[in-house]
Amino acid sequence: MAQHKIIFTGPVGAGKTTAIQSLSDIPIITTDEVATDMTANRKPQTTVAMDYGLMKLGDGERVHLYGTPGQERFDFMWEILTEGGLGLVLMLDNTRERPFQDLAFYLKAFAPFIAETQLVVGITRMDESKTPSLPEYHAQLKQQGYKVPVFEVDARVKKDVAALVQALLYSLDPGVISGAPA
Amino acid sequence: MIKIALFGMDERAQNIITMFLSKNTQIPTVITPRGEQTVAIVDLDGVNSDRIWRDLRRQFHGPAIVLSVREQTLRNAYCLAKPFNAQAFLAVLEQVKKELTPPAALPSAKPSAGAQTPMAANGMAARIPAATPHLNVHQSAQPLAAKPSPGLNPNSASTAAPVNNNTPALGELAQARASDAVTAKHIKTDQPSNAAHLISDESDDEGSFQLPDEAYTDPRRRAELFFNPNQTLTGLCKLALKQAKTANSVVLIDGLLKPCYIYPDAKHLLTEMRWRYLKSVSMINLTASPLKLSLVPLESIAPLSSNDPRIRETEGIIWSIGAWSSRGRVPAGTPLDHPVHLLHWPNLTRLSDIPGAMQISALWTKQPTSLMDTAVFLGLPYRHVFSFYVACQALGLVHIEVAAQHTPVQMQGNAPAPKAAPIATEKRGLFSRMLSKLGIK
Repeated sequence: MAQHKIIFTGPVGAGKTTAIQSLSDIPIITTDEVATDMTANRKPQTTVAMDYGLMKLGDGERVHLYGTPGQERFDFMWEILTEGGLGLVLMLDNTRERPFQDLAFYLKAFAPFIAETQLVVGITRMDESKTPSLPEYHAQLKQQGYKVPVFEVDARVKKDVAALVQALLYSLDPGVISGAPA
Repeated sequence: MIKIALFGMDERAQNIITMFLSKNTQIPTVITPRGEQTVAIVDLDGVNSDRIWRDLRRQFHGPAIVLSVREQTLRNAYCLAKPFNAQAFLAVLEQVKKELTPPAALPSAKPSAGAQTPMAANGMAARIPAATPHLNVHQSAQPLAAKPSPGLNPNSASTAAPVNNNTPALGELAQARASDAVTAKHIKTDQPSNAAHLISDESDDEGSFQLPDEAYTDPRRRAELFFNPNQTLTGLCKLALKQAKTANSVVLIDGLLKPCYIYPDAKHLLTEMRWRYLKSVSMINLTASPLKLSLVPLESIAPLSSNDPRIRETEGIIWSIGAWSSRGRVPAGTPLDHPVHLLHWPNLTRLSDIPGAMQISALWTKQPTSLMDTAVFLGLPYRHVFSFYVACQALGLVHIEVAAQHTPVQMQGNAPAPKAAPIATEKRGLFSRMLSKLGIK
């Protein structure tokens, strides 16, 4: 049976693990460890290899949900994780010092994968920090040649995370209809 | 027994009111054919309501109960603001009954020509001092026009003159108000009930307002696909936003059920109006309503930093009002066969849902497509595509290509030929199952 995967990426504390948890049909498998570096300022535990969740579609068909480690020193994992992926969900924390720098970093790091698939961007913690605004994110993305969905999300809310995946699927194929036969 | 005839209502609304009255034993009533009534109940939110009201008043001078989402001040009429509840309806009937029973039990409750009291929101029959503003901030409001228009609502709390604008709708609003002799009947309702919901659902029911799909492809019904946004709440809000920005001041929209203050940052507004009321008022033509705009000093209303629950984000409200005002139509002059460009995706996780919004956003981002083709390619009702367009337009997210040389998008199956690599059928099936899994219908 076919296996598929969606990749969640973004900086430490942006909500990747929580987002996968919101969608997964199984308890997520995570490789969090106690942070011993600067990461500890934002999050007591951090993902060092990957997070893993699973969406079961029935008849044994599965969509694997992979979360990349947030720290750049684990970026050797990213290429392996993205192979064969359907698309990229980029989570950004709006309370971080330089969200646009984060955006630029991940766009560059995943450029080959995005070129082959699609990208959606979820901005978390906008209730705590209103800036940058979504139009400013769109402007940044446009400068880099991207015109992709950017939504304000709460990673704990399934509806929000589902909307990101929904937008990803429609970006890949606007004509898809929910529940239609293959 | 009070003999009641119903005017300006569709069959459904008539049935609801008939059913409600038949179950009400407190005040005996009977529905009679028009012309035999002692009391008229008139819905003033219909397309031809002005004519219906004039015709009625030519032939019938007895008491009338008027139902409307707009503030109404009409001679010898009891005005009941939608949405209203059973208690409010019964309270009005009780007053009518007293008026019809000589000697009048409560002469003071009778309408008095010349006095003006606005129709208030949702409530029990109770009189509120006419000059009491909902928010006491108007006293120092500054006029935007050199001359105040005559006949504007004197009790909607503003001593400020209206914005001197060139919008025909607002000019008509002022005139309509000026020509209206006024009677005071004031109903305030705060407690919803099932009966009230049923009655007010008449104006909430989008189905009764929206066009069937066949209207969009019938050349004879072409004119029905368009509307004038300047005559709706979406046009009024757009004008208020512009005025607030230009004057760098708060702009008050006055004359609706409750005041609405637009902040100059264009991101926030302050109002106590509920979504349901906003929806109802968005769906009607406001040309006959006594609405006006005026400037209000920023310091006289709640600061944006406060946690005042009445402060709301403008984007979400403007989006919804746009979609509701549209009712499946687009502004007059919109070319239906030219490609629509989406400047960027709307923040769909925080905006009210419009069916097909994700699909349409994806298509217009990937491949600008005309309104008509979009509905066909995506298999969506035309009204959803049109409403989404108007909502996006309200936020400045779309523009239409007007170049003469537009090449129609080629169809491939039920989807447009994408510029990117075609999607394999196998993946479309997978995506479809994934959407289903995510709970997308």
